Amino acid sequence: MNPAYAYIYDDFLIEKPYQDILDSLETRLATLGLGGRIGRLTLFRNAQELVEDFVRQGVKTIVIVGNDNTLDKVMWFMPDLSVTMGYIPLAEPSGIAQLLNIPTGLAACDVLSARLIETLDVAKLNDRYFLSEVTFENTTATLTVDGKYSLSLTKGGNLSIRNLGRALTAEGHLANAQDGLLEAVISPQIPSAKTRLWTKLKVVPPQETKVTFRAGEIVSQQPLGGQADRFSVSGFKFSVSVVPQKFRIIMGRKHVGQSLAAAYGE
Amino acid sequence: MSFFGNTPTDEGKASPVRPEGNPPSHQPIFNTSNNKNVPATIIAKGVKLEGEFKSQGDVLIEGEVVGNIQTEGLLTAGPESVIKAGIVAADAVIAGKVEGNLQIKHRLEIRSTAKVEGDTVCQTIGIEAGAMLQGQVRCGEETKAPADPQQATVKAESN
Repeated sequence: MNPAYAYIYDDFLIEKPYQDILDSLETRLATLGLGGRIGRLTLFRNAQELVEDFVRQGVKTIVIVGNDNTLDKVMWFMPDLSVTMGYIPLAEPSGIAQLLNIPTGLAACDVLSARLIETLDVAKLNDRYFLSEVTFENTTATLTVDGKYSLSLTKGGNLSIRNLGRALTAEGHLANAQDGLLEAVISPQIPSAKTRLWTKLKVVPPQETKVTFRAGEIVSQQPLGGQADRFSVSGFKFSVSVVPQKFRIIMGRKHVGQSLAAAYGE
Repeated sequence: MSFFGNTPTDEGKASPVRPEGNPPSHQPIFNTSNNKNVPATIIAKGVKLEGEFKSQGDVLIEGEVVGNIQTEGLLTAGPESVIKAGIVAADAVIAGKVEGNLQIKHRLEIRSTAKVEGDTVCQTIGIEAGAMLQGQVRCGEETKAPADPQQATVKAESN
């Protein structure tokens, strides 16, 4: 067993369909010399305490085993710990794994073994970290950027603040999570019927607004609901900022840009 | 080593030509900061920017701007843009409505759909037939590197 590694299993992995793959996973990790202690998330077990216990015991790499929801359970505190994070996605949703170029299933062990570590920026929505992006749909909120200027959606639209980029859909864009900046993207609200018609007629859809910034504030007169990574948020006012070079993550060898380009058929 | 390469871009609609002859900067794009053909900042139609905006890259404006704009790159104002701001930029292509002084370091292009009210300082200027231009124009000399755009606004208001 490698004392530098610990694995956090999500509670859904206790279900029978996952027993075989977990057995195979543990065998594969032992073969690679990456076997480590295992902690299981349960309904009444605090993920932060579990991870911090491992860190106190000298663990240097915490590997999340599960899916993007599992990642979400630890993401809010992990960047503050001096550990490297690995990720083995065994089930959907795994959009963040895709952005990190980590394959789903046992193949993720090879990524772990290659140990290609990148230090990424993390974003903060109020006091909570997120890795990919926060999205507010159909809003007329105002974004004040770095206290210098504001962007208002005069006709309403979708507001996204990106760090790593969208992980929720396959057609998501990719932002740079190593430039110390967040990217605000405002896209107009277009009825899907209109979008289909435009696609048919090959009409170029309206452009998105795009600015980069370090810190900002989102204010709305109406209650505002959004999603950051995979957790939901609601309120009238949010602060958003980037913490540069904060989080060490083991990533897949192929460039993220390449993997997305492949997804777009380029 | 960077992990973030370019992503695919869409073919775009007709756009103002960048003065240096580089590829047009007016295309709808996937948002990658690494793509050199894409403006670093886009203010699209339906969005209003208010305040002091500074950028080091190219800026494309199709929406509304109130305040001051300063960029070290190319500023492109589309035909439907409404800008009530002092503008300081390295190069500019104006096709919309501008109320404010323009201080352009190199080349300024004013398109036929443009309506500019304010004083203009630039090195070279191109004005298409049909463009409306009110204010003093001084060109033929290189302007100083981006100055304080607030001064430009104050001058515009006093005219």
